[in-house]
Amino acid sequence: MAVYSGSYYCDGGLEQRQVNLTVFGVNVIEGRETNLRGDRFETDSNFDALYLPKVFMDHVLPVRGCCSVPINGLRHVKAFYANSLYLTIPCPFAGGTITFQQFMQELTNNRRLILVELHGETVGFNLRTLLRN
Amino acid sequence: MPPIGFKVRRYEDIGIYYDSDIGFTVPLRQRTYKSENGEIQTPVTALLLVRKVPTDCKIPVSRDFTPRVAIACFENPNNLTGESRLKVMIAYRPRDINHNLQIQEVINFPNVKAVEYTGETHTSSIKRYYD
Repeated sequence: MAVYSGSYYCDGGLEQRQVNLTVFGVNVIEGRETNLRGDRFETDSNFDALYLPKVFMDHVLPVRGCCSVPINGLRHVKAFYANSLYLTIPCPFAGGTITFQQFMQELTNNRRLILVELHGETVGFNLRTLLRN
Repeated sequence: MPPIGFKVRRYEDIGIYYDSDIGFTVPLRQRTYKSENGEIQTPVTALLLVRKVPTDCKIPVSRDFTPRVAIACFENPNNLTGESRLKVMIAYRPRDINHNLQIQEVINFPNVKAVEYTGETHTSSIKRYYD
């Protein structure tokens, strides 16, 4: 599990600074499509360098952040590099932005990855506080 | 006569132009549930209706991604859980000023007790959008 920290931009517009953006691998044991279950495993910086987009690495620091994003689930991608092995990579950039497009473009251009899924963020009770116009 | 234990739900599907996070715009179906007297219960607000497909043409049911949605929670003593949860898609992408305004409209919709939000999700590969 590689821990990075950096800003996370909520869909509602709020920027959360110096939060944990943790990358980890999953070895899928069972499940189909969205109900995958498996064992988490740690990755190291050499491994991450093969898969993580440059726009992500330029955005984060390789240290633990001081807090987590106060939402239920971060926007993230599941990047499969084998049939039952994937990396969970948080996407700190909001949809439709240039950095979001760069992030996705770099992942989809990576020939080591066979499938890239995007999973949107989930927000519960504090949705109103995350809206910024 | 439906069997006991089943509920009849009145609904109408409308077409909505939806702006994807990836960058494309596509018409999608929005199901709007109605009460017995025909009143619309799903929080379909003014900013969503701006994006309504202006014709009665059929919008395809199938789609290969899940749009971003606000899930509005209403009190409903007829349900075992005591609540109804109705989804409405947020048609505008993040950073469009109307994205937050539409969520505010859902929060302020009559009788809505709480609102959750789920961002756009693609479980099919997104690679085809970037080729």
